[in-house]
Amino acid sequence: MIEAEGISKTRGGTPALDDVSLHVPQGTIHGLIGADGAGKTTLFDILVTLLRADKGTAVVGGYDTATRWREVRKTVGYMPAAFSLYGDLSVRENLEFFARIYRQPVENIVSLVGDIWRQIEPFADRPAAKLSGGMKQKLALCCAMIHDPAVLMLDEPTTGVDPTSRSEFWTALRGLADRGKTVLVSTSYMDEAAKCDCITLLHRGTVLDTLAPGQVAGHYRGTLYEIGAADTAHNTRLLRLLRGWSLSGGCYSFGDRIHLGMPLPGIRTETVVSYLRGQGTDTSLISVCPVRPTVEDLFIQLTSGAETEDSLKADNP
Amino acid sequence: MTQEGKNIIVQHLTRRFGDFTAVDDLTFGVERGEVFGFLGANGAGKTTAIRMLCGLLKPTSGRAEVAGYDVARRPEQVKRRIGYMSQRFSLYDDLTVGENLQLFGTIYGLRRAALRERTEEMYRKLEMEPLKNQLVGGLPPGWKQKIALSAAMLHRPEVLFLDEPTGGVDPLGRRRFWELILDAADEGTTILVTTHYLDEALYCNRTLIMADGQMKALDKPRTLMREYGARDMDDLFGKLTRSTAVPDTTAKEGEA
Amino acid sequence: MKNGSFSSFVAKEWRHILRERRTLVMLFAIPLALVLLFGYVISTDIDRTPIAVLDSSHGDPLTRRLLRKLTAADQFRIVDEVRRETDIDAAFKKGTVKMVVVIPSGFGSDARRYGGAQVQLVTDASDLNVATTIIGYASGIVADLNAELNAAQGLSPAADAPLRINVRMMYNPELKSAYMFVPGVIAMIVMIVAAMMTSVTLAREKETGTLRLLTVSPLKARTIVLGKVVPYFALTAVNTALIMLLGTLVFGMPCYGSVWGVALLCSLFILSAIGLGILISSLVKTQQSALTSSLLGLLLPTMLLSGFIFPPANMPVVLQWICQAVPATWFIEGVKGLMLKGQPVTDVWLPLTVLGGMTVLLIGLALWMFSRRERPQP
Repeated sequence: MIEAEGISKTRGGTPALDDVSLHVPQGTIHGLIGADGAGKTTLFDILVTLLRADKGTAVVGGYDTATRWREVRKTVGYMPAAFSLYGDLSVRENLEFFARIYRQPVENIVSLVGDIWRQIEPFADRPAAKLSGGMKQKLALCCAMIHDPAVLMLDEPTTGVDPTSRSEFWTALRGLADRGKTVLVSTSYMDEAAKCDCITLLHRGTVLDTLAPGQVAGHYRGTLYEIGAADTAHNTRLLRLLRGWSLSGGCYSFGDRIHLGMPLPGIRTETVVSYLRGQGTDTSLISVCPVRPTVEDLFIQLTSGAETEDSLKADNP
Repeated sequence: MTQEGKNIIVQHLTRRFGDFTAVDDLTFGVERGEVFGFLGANGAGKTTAIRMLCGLLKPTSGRAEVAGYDVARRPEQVKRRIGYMSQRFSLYDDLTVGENLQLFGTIYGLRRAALRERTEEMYRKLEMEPLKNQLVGGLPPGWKQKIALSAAMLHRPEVLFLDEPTGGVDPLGRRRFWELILDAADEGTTILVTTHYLDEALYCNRTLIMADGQMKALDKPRTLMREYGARDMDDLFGKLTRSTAVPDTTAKEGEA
Repeated sequence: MKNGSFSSFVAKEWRHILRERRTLVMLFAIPLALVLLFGYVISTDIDRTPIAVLDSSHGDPLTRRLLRKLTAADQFRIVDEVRRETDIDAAFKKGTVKMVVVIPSGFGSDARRYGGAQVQLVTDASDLNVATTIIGYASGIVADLNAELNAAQGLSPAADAPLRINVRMMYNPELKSAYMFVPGVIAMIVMIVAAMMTSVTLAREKETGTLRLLTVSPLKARTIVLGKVVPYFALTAVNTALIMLLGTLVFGMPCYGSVWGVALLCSLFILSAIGLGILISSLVKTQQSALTSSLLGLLLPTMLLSGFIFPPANMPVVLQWICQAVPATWFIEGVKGLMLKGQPVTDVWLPLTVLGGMTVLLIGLALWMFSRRERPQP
């Protein structure tokens, strides 16, 4: 339902997207994972036909975005990155307005996204600006769904929304996908990757990797170790030791633990423990064990090689 | 100070807006150099609590002391000793890095020599000397956040309030940002942080989970997970807040 | 079903307008305040108005009789004496007198011998309203004297007047009317409501991202543009009518020409202003810059370069050219012609054509700019 091939786009003299390809089958949720400035919004702009790609082709719902953009717009339900409804209009007025410009009876909302609509219906007469973040996003989803689009494009719908509302929102998206809608959704919350059928990791305009959330461990090079010290005050010293290790493939604090990537094959837990002991660490107070890498670990592994101006070596003496 | 070693003391802190109780009888203390996490859904009362602790909003009842001063009676003293940084507002995009730092330093009353010394130190520490004359607006989000943090810490605050500081930053950037925060804590700065990334709660020494203005739990994150039999922070958060979360209260809190 | 989405767009605009209560109140309060302010500053009551006399008749009895009569009713008092014609200017510049009565030599003998002497009334017409009122009173007194003189000769009061009045207005050769404040205030209000508010609301749609949603919706660009034109036109038209009514009913501004002509002129002016507003909004990204652009780019020229405050005739040539490009210049000229001079509509064809042309050009350009944005942007 979404087929993008080799999309490139330069904005303001700097490349925003470089050779990005994306394939989203009908009835699936595809996650676009990346930080601010990764190019997510530019890609959405191209797919919803607000922008033209410099290179590459994109076909949405069977229509080419460059030539058949009028048809694409009828096929797509779109939620831009910022809250984009009328804050001074009530919930119901917003919905009615979008229903009328799409020439749809507003009652359709019940059959289309009844479960979400019921959650915001109690606030139907409240100005949209006075809704909580989660409620605003649910209203925006209702407005994007009012013309029963086959494809949903949601740009960071959960940013700034609290965890509870975020998980409710994802439940709603899953329901839509189950009913055959194709969903492309971007997020900067890595933990939301698990709720997608397939994810594309986007970083500075390029695709780092495309995979199913279950394949993260398979795509991770080498083994990931989690190191926990009984007293987290030791973490700073441990980090410094491990970063100085030639075998280490990157090492970061992960909450109160430390994640150490060991990209070379054949490394075992004992190798890590003995290195630390060799550096004069009391390893009896430290736990070292291999763990399943998360999307975030994979993302860090894929980006740490390419780091340039973002580099920071504050802890080097 | 009434309790030795505590940099934030909160006793029965309550704030009402009309009939609505945004913060309901909050009591806790934060040690010097502690990283203290503040979690809760939108509208749980986090923002109201932080605004009271920063001396921006008077409590309805109860009291709070920050950096040794009562927030209701000596808000000017409190403001001088705290730093505040938020993802939403931090820097002026149309000023350069140097101009931003100079501005915030001056706001906090740093003298010229002290300002220069502190700014140089920040440049060294974050290796951002080459960026000094660049406009903040054009920098990547990760850098903006680091500079915003520097600006908030220029006057060596005793307590640093971080309100969702890491939104939109890539994972690597977030890790590095947290390492900066932990460094500051090691140097004795007390840190109170709110975040929507629940996994980040694990960076905190202790976490307070709020719902409906009330404290639902307060302890080391791992202790809490064990106690409630939660798989991870997400699960814990769900267990503690889902039953009571009322999402439509933000407006009241945000507006007041 | 085009009407369905158009009318709902217009309905949405009305909601935006009506919900901003504070702005709405200001929109009607400001013109009201301005009109009242301008209106009352033009005081028309004269009492003990200071005047000066240039007496070349050297104390002729008729002169003394005239001056006695002038000061008898407490409306005028003589505070100064001017010796030479060339000193009149200085007398006004001192600011102490409002009128100089010039009496020629041989005043009395002229009146007796030839049945006609001339008395010249010189006024400071920089405040035209005051000047005309003073002249009115003074002429009345002279007329009384004429009647008395005729009666003494046994003639009827309606017989040829022995004293004739010659009025000279100084400092306002164009006789710019004090009522010009009415079209002036209208021009400013039209710029604020029609141009500035239109540009700000469109910029708001850009800023909040709703324009993106509208662009990807089946809504046509022309529906969006016209959907903005209609409510703001109505709002401004009501506002304009209110100021006109206030000006004519309360302050007695005359309307000698065709009311429909005035309505047409106002409509064209409002539409051209809305066109300007939409154009501004297509060039800016934020409400803030829409506001500053309309303030500096539209409101200021409307006040300074339209002939409302400064007459263009006294400006450098380049500025005069710019004045020609300001819609308010043509509007004010048209209003002057229709309402104050009572010209027929055909005589103000130039302002009407220029405003009509500007309207077509600006709205057309705005439509084109927005339609261009409809397709995927390079």
